[in-house]
Amino acid sequence: MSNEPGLDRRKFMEIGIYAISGTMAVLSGAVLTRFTIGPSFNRQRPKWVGVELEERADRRGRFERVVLEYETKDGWLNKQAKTLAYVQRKENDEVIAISAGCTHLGCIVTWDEDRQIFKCPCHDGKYDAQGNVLSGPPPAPLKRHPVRTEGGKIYLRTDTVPFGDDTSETA
Amino acid sequence: MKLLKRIYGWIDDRVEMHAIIKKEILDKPVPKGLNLSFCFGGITFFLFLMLAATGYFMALYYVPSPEQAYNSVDYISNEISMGRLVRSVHHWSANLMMVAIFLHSIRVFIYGAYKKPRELNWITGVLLLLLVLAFGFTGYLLPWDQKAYWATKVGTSIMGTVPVVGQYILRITRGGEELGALTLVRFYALHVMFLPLATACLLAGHFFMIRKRGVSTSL
Repeated sequence: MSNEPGLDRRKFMEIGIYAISGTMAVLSGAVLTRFTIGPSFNRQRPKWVGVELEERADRRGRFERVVLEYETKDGWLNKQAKTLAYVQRKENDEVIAISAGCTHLGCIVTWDEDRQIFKCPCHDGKYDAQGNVLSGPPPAPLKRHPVRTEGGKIYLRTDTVPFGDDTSETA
Repeated sequence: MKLLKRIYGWIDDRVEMHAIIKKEILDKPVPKGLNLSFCFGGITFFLFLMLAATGYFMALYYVPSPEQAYNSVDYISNEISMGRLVRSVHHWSANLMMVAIFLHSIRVFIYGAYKKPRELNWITGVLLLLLVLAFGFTGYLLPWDQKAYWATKVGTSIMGTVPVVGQYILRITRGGEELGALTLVRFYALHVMFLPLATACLLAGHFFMIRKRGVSTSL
């Protein structure tokens, strides 16, 4: 094909048609691909959410279920996001907040006070009281929310939730 | 490239369509005696393809409910990259399609190209024109803004003025007495499911017949 001398009219037109329609296809494909990706990689801005802990001496060193509620955007909807954390104030006043999102596939773990472990109902992942994996499929320890205390009030940052927030979790 | 050619060759060894496509479409000579006014049908079809492409992708975001329709359209136009472009292409293609399909019909009429043996082209063509008008009418409601709402209010009320059956047509179109959620969702279903399928079927017939009988060029 290429070693034929010259470029006849038919071949020239054929190449021209393929070039024009190819350019149109590539351009529209690029536009529609970007349109499809849309907001998929947008990140929610992390927020500091104030939480209340019971101020009783016997609650010290014990986990309390805390539901973080905060405003977020779900596409064009304003959503009240809810996510669960286990928070405890230690004897030395240090506060730790463990996210309840299982690091395996995002189910909500529950705290077993008697056995002092976190259990995931979906695939039987187990974590100790520090959030370290004891058994089961979880690939990493439970995430911790960054904690800030200001004037006796506790604030947790929302950006550590694996697999997104879980609005089906009710308080 | 070489791999693609081999895959194409492997498939064509079995379906044996390449030679037919080349002969009947790619290398098909343009009939003598045509001029630019014969392009309007093709332009209409091209615009139909543009509308289909942009419409399919807008369905990724649009929600046909009174609470969310406007906000989801606003989201497409103002929040998503290329959203305004995609929606504008849909909007302008729809407008231009009306122009192109009417010019096409006028050309066919002037050339007398509806006469035997091409009546089926005319009949499917008129049905396609009606479908395009239905596309326009149903699509106009979907942004669910003031213009959409009142245009549909007036349009469906006009249906209600038809003697005897008017009130039945009006109620079936609105899905009830009032224009509301039921109207919006049935207009959406018509716009993206029923009308495109009907259009595709009629287009196939329209194209088959023009290939069968050829373009009428005598004036």
